[in-house]
Amino acid sequence: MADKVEKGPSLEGGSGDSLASSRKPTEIPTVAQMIEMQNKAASASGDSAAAGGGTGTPGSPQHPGFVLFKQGAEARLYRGTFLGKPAVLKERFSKKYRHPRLDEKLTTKRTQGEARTVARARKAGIPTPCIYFVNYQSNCIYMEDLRSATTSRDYIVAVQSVRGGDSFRALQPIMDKIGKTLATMHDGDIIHGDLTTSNIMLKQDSSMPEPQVVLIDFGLSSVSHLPEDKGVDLYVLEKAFLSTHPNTEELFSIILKSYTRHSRKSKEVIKKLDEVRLRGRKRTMVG
Amino acid sequence: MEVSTTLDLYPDTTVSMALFSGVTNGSEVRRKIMDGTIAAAVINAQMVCDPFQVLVAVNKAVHLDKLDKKKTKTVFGEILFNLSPGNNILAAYQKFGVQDAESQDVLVVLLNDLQGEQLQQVSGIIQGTRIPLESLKDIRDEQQIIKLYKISESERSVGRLEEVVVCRMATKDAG
Ligand SMILES: Nc1ncnc2c1ncn2[C@@H]1O[C@H](COP(=O)(O)OP(=O)(O)OP(=O)(O)O)[C@@H](O)[C@H]1O
Ligand SMILES: [Mg+2]
Repeated sequence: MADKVEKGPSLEGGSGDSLASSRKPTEIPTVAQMIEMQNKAASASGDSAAAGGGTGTPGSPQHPGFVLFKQGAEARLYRGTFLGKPAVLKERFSKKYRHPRLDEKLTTKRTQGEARTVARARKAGIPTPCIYFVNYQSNCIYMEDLRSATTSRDYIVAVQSVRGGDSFRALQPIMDKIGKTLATMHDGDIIHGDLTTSNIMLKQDSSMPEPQVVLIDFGLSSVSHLPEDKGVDLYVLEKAFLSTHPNTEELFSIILKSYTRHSRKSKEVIKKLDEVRLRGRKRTMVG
Repeated sequence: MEVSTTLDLYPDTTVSMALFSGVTNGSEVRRKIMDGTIAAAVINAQMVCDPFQVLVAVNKAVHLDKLDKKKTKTVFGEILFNLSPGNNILAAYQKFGVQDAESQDVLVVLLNDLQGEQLQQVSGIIQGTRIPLESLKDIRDEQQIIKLYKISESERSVGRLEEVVVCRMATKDAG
């Protein structure tokens, strides 16, 4: 059940800031509130996966104690416990239509690539879930379960669903942080390869005064110093962003502005982004 | 005081840890590891951030042991090797194994010591004082750990030290 929104005093109860000075308290959730709501909803629905496997949950037959929560095209995601810590298990599987031997190698390469880039990203100062164990036999990555986190996709959708709220203003600081993180990543010559708002998570636990951007899903990543590759990386995000969140050109431009401010080589990258956009447009005009 | 954990992925394997302080017979302990009298990983406790770090190393060692893909001869050698950031086995033993120091703190890791007999045997050899495992956090030498793993300021900022180290350990063979 959704919480009632028409409560008297706001959750924050702050009256000093400008938002609170309007008669009605703001209804746009902060990242922390959003995470709290999601976690509450998960435990209320008896979501044993969110409870970290729980007691007596048999889980999946192949992965005892782990419960499936997402079945993708190339990977299955489970929740459970690994050596006492809440963990996410990402299992890549073979695609039936490809040659089995070749495919196994490709699947292992992706798993290895994801682990390698996670290590590289962390060295560059990009927060990612901590990897606990990689099983190259079964192409499984066991990693930290970001429990005090939400995808930026869910957060943007939640903010925009508040009617009459100033969602642009609420999201601005988050977009700023995302741009900065991507700049750091590209300055470390890391190309994510699959930037979407589902792969950009926002973490905030009680010890953190501000939300933190955490990048996930490095299965298609690569290493490159070429502005072209970085431009394409941003283009992929732009496409995904605007199709997932319609009419957000202005919002997305904050990411690019922040990227430009923070990246050492942003000029060439943005130039390439413009070129790629033009190519994309031409292609759609012809096709 | 012996703390035991069952490996989630290998429920037939139980890991026990015991911490000893002020150990004075390091070279004897090392000799007895080499000749097989001691069947345990005896770890330089200064280099351990957290028991979780050790469990991660044990899990990987048991995993590779079952696949017959160990880099070292024994599962205990493999635990030390997994703790190390590099691929040099000797260097791993030197940094993470028993030291030459006159007095040192060591963490003893045993497998499947269900009756506690192994711990009893090892305790009979090690000349030092058993202390609670919780004392690890006071013993750990953060500066030395950061130096050995070459953890930069930016990497350090990503999370808690044990997480930074664990992620390095888990991804070291990713190329
Ligand atoms: N470590 C984690 N902690 C919490 N949630 C996670 C974690 N990893 C993934 N998720 C959740 O699962 C979703 C899917 O994960 P991920 O993006 O890694 O897989 P995928 O998109 O199916 O992979 P691929 O693109 O390689 O097929 C994420 O959008 C996020 O909501
Ligand atoms: Mg994804």
